[in-house]
Amino acid sequence: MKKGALIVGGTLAAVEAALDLAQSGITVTLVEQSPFLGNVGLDWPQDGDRGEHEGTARLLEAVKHPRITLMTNTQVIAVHGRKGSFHVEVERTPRFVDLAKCTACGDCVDVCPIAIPDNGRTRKAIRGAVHGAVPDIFAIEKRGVAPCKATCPGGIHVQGYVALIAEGRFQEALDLIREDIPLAGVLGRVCYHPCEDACRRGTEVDQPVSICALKRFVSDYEVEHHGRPVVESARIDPELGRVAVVGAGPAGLTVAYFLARRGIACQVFEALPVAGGMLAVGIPDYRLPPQVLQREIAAIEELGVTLHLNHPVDAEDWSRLQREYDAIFVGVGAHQPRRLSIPGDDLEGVLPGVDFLRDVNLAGIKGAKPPAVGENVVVIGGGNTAIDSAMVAQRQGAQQVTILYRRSRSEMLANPWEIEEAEEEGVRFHFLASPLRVISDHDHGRIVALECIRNALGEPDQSGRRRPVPIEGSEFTIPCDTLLPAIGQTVSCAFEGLDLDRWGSFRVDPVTLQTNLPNVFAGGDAVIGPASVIESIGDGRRAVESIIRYLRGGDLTQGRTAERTDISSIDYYTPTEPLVRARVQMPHIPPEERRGYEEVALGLTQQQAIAEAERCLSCGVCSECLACVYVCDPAAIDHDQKAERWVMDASAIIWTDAAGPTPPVTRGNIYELHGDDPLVASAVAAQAMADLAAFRQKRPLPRWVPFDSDPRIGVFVCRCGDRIGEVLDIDALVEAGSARPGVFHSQDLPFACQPDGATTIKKAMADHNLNQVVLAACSCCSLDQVCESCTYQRVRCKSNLLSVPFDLMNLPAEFVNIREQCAWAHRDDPALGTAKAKRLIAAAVAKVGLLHPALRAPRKVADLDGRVLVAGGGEAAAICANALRAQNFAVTRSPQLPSAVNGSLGRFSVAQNGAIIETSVVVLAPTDEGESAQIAPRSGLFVCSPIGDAELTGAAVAAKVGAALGSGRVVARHNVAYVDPSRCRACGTCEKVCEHLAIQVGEVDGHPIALVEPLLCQGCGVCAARCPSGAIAAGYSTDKQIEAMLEAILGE
Amino acid sequence: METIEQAIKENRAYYCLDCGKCTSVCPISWREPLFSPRTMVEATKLDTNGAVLHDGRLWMCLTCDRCTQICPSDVHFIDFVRDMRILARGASEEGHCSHGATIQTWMRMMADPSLKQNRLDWLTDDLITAEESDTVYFVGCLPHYEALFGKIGAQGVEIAQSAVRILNHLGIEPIVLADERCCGHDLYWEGESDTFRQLAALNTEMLRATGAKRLVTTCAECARTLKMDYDLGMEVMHMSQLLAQNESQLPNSISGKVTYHDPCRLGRHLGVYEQPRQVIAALGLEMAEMAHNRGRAVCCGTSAWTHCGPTAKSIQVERLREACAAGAETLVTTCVKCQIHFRCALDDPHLHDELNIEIKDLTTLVAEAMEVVSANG
Repeated sequence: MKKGALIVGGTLAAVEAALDLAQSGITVTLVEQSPFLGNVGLDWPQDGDRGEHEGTARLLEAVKHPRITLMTNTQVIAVHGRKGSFHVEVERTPRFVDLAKCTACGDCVDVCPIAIPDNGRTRKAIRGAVHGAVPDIFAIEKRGVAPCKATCPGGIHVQGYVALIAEGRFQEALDLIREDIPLAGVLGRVCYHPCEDACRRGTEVDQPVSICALKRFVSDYEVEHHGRPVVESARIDPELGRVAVVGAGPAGLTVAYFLARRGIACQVFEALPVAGGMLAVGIPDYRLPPQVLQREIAAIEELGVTLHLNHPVDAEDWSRLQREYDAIFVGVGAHQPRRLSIPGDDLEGVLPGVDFLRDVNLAGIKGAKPPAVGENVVVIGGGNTAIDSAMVAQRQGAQQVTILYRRSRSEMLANPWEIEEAEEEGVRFHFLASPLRVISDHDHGRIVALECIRNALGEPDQSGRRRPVPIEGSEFTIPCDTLLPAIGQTVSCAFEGLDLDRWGSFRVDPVTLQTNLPNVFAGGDAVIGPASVIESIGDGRRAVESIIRYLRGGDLTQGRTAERTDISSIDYYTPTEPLVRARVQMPHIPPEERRGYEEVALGLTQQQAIAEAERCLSCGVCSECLACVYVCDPAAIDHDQKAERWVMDASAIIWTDAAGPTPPVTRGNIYELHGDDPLVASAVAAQAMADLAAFRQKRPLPRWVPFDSDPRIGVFVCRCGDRIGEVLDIDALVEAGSARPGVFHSQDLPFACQPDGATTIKKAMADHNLNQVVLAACSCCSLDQVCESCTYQRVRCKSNLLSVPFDLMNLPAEFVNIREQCAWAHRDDPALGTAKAKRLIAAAVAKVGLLHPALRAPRKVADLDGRVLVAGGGEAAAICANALRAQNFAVTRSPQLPSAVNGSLGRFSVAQNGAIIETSVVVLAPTDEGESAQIAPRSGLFVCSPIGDAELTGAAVAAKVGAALGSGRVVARHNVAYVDPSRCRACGTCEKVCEHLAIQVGEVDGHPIALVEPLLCQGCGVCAARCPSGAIAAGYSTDKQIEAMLEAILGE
Repeated sequence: METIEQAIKENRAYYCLDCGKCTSVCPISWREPLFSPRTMVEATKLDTNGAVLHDGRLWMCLTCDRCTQICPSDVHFIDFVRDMRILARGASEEGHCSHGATIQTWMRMMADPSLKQNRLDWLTDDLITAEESDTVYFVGCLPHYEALFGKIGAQGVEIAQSAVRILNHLGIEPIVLADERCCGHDLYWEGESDTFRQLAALNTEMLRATGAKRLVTTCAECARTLKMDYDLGMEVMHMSQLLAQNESQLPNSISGKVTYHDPCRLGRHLGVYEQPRQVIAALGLEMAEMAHNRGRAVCCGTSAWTHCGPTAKSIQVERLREACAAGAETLVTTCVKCQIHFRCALDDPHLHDELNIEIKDLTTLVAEAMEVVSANG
C-alpha cells in the first residue's frame, strides 16, 4: 500500500490541495459524495479572477493527474487508526452511469419523464453537471425502489410507467410493462394491485394513485390505435434449448413469453380447450372480457410459442416430455375444489363454485348450454370465487343469491371493491354463519334448504384472522335450491417423480422454483395454492431466470433471494407541495343495467389517465422507466449498480466543507480545509506534505518511442454514437482518409473516448504497423493541457490512449474536432459538414506526415535536489522556511533580498552579500510592496507576498515549492520551440518576448544563436510568431506543417 | 523567360571565364563557403536537368551587383539570378520569406485591380499636394513598413511627410496618388514576374494619367524599378538627386559627423553616389566615409525580404562596425530597407554597447535641418 493523502469533499480548494500534493510526488485520493466535483453546496465563483471556466480546467487537471485518484459518489463512513496510518471506511453509492462510457450527449435527459422542482426550475432524475462541475458525466438521482414496484409480485416498473403515462407516452409505458409481464390488459382488470395499498400517495397524502386502471388504460389505448397488442419479438434459435410448459395459465404463459423473447423455443400443453387457465375459466366475462385475454395470448403465440389445447399431459406424455425437452415448467394451477364435507354435499344442486364458473365460461366458448341455477342460490365462502359465483348465478337467472360466510365482512379474502359490486347488484351477505347440513326434498332428491349455525369470532388463527366459533343452539335454516360452495381449491395433478407437499402442491426451491427433478420447474397456483394472477406471473418470471441459467449451465442461485426488497430504510422523495387532486373514479355500468356479461368497468379516458398519473409522488425520484437505457447510444446506463464499501489506508486526511463534520480520530488530527481560497488550500496541503515528505515518489521518466521509419498513418473517425454519425457521412470520411498519402489504415470507431476505442486504435496500430494516428473525434488540440473548453470526455479519450503502450506526446496523435466543428456547426447542411471534416482530416494527415525533427528527440529531463534559499525580511519568510524544513528540504535562510538572481528552477545562482549561493529554488519574502515590485517572475522563484496573512502565505508558498521540487525531477514539455541555426540571426527578438526566460541568445561554436531551454519552454509559440527570419518553429506545428495543412485543405 | 538556355544567353553567362572575381567580392561567399556566383554560373551551364532550379542557394544572392561590377566579361549575374528565380518559381520553388511572408502578401494584394486603398491619411494639413502638377511623389511602401517595423524605431510615414515638406519648401506641390501600388521590386527580384507585371501595369496607367513630367521617390528600390523596369515616359529621380539639384536652397543648419551607406539600388544599379554626399555636406555635416564606399559599398545584408538569417545579420553587424570605426555618430542612408535592416541588427541587446550609432534617412535629415532653420526664425 502506497502511503498517500486522502482528501474528502470535492471543493475547488480540495482540488487545489490535491494538485499541490500530487505534483510534489504524493499519491492522493479525492473522494466526493455527490456525483460531481466543484458542485457541492459551495458557491461557485461567478465573476472575478477565478471564473467557472478556469475552475473547470483546474478540475480537469486533477482528473488528468496520474497521481490523483478521483472517486465521486463516495463518502467516508468512519475513520479508524491514527495519523500516519488511518484506516478509512468508505462507501460508494451507485451513479448508475458508467464514467468510462457516457458522452454527455443529453439524450437521456430529453427522454427522462421525471422532473423535480428545484429552486424555481426543474431537474430531471438523470442530470449532468452544472456550473462547469466535473466530471461532466450524467448521474441518476435514485432514492431507492419505489414502494409500488417493491410490493408488486411481478416486479413491474410501476413508477416508471406511471411517469411515462403522465407525459402521454402511452406506448412506451406499455412497452415498459411488457418488459416485466406479458398480460397488461388482463392485469389492468383483475389484479388485486397491492401496489396501490403501498402507494405513499395513499398512506401519506390522500388516496393512492389508481395504478391498475392506468395499466388497463395503456393496454386499451394500444388496441384502440393498433387493433391488437404489438410485442417486440426475437428470432427463435433452436440451439438455445427446447422447453415444454405444462399448463397455459398465467404462470405458464409468462414462462413461454419471456423464453420466446430470449429466442428460446417453447411448447405449451393445455388440458382445457382454451388457453389462460383460471383467467379463462375462473374469472367471469363481465370482469375480464375473453377477447382481452385471447388477444394477449395471441400476441404471445406470435412470438413463436406453440399452444397445444385439449392436451392434458398423461403419464406417457410426461415421460416423453422428459426425454425430448431440455427443461419443463409445470404450471397446472389449482383447479380441484375443496369439498364442504357436510351431510348432503353430494346431492344434485350442489356444484362447486369454481366448477360452476368454469362451466359458464366454457359454455360461452363452446356454445354449449350453461349450467342451470335455481331461484334461491346460496354461495359458501368469502373469497373472490364466492363473489364471482354469486354474481354469475344472478346473471344466470337466480332470484335471490345469498353469500354465507363463517366470519365477518372484514375477514373476507375477496377484494373489497368486488364485495361492493356484489352488494350493488343485490347479492345478500350472511356473515358469521356456517353450513351444517344440506336439506333435500326426499321425493326428488333435490335440495330445498340449508341448515346453518351462527358463529362468534374467537382467537386469531394461523392466517391472522379471527377464528369462527359456533354458538350452541343457534341453528337456523335458509331456503336453497342451488348450493355453490367456494371454499378453495387444491392442486389435482401429479407427475411421476415430482415431490408434493402435504397440501398436494408441488414442492420447489423457494428461490429458483426448481423441483426435485433438476430440469423441472414449477410455479403459480400449482405451487402456492390458489393465489393471484400477478403472483403466478411473478413465479413465471422467477422460473424463466432459473430455466435460462439451467440451459446455460449456470449457477441457479447466485445473486438471488426469495426475500422481498427491504424498503424500510429508504428516504423517499416527497414533493414539498404535492399536486392537490383526488383519485380518479373509474366509471362503471350502473348496477341496474348489469344483467349480461358485458364488461362492468369502463376504463379511463386519455385525460383522466394523464391527470391520474400526474398524482404520482415520484417516490424514488428515478422511476426506472428505462427510457434512458433505450436511448443511450454508448450503453452507459446501468440501473443495477450496487453500493460498495471498503476500507482504504491514508497517512494524512484533509477534510473540506463538502464532507460534513470532521470525524473524531484517536491520535493525531485531520486537517480541515474551509472555503474555496486556493491560498488556504495550499497552506493546508503544506501540512500534509510535511507528513508525507518521506513517501514522495520521483516523477517517472517519460517514455520515448524513436522514429526510424517513414510515417505510417492511421486515420480513426469517431461516430460518437449518432452524435457525429447522424450528421456526417462517416463512411465517406473513412474512405477519404484512406486515400491520403501516407495513410495505411482508416476506420471508424463507435466511441473514441471509451476504453474500447483506445483498444481498437492500439490493435490497429499493431496490425498495420502504424506510427502516427489522426483521430477525428471531439478533441481539438494535441497538446498535453486542458483549457476552458475542454471536457471530461476529451481528457478521458487522451488518458485512454496513453494507457495504450505509447506516449501520446512522443508519438503525436493529431486530434481533429469533427463533432463541434463539423457535425454540430453544420447540422443544417450535412454535406458541407462532411466536406469540411474531410478537409480537416486531410490537413491533420498532412501535418503528422511532416513531423518535425525536434519532436523525434527525447524530452529533456533534469533531476532536482532539495536546496531552497529563503531570502528577505518579510514576516512570512521564517514560517515558509520552517514549513520547508518540515518537508525535509535543505533550507538556507538569508535576512536580506539577494542583489542578483540568475538561473531558473534547479539551477539558480544567487548573489548574496558578495557570495554566490547555488540553489534549486529561490523563495523571496519582501518586507513591503516596494521591494515586491522589483522582483521579476521566473520559473523556480517564489514570492511570499507582504500583503495578507503571513502564516497563510508562508505555508502556501512552502506547498508550491513542494509541488515544484518534491517529485525530484523536471521533464521538458513535448512541444518546446526549436531554432533552425541556419536561419537564426540572433536578433534577440525571441528573448524579449518570452515570458518564461526560456529562449536566450547565446553562442554555439563561436556563433551567436538563440538557445531554447526545454525545461522552461512552455511551447506557447510566441517566439516563433515574432521571429523575423522564421528561424523558430513552435514544437506543435512548423511553418512547413501549416503550409502542408493549408494545401491539403485547399486541395480537397 | 522560358528556358535556362535563354537565361544563360540573355545574361551573357556563356562569357564567364571562370576567373572567380565575382566570388571574391561577394559578401555572401565571404560567409557561406558553399555559395559562389562563379560556381552557380558554371553549374548552370553544365546542368542539363535543371537541378540548379531546385538548389536552395539560388535564393541566397543579394543581387547587390558587386559581382557584375567587377566581372571582366560583363556577365549580368544579378539579372541571371533573377531570371533563374523566375524559372525556379515555375518549378514550385521559392525562397524562405521573412516575417511570415507578410510583406509579399500585401504586395500580392495590391496587384488586384479591384483593390481600393486610402493611402493618404498620413498627409497632415500643413503638407500641400495638388491634383495636377509637373511632379508626382511616389510614396512606395513607407507607411506599411512603419506599421511592421515601427517597433524597432524604423521611419516610414516620417520619410514621406518629410518628402512632401521638402518639395513644398522647394516650391513644388506634388501629386500624391491615393491608390498607388507597390512598385513590385521585391517580387520581381524574387522571380514572381507575373505579379510584378500586374503591379507595373496598374502603376503605369495611374502615373501616366497624372500628366506629370517628373517622378520623385524617397526609396532607392522604387527609383531603380520605376526608372529601369517601367516605361513611364517621365523623368524618374530619387529625392537625393532632386535635393542635389537644389543644393542652394538647403539650410546649412546642423552639425555632426556622419557616414553614408550607399544602397545597392541607388549606387551600383543607378550610379547615384555623389548627390547624397553633396546634400549631406550642404547641410553642414562632416562626412566620415566607411572603408567600403560608393561602388565598393557592401549591401545591408538582405534583399527582397528573402533568406534572412545569421549571414544577413553578420553582414549588417560588420557594416555597422565599419561605420563606427569611421567615427560616425550617425549612419545616413537613402533606402528605407537599409534603415530597417540596420535597425533590426542594432536591436540586438547584446550589441547595444558595442554599436553606438544612429540610423537616419537622408530625407528626414534634410527635413530636420529645415525645421532647425524655421525654429530659429
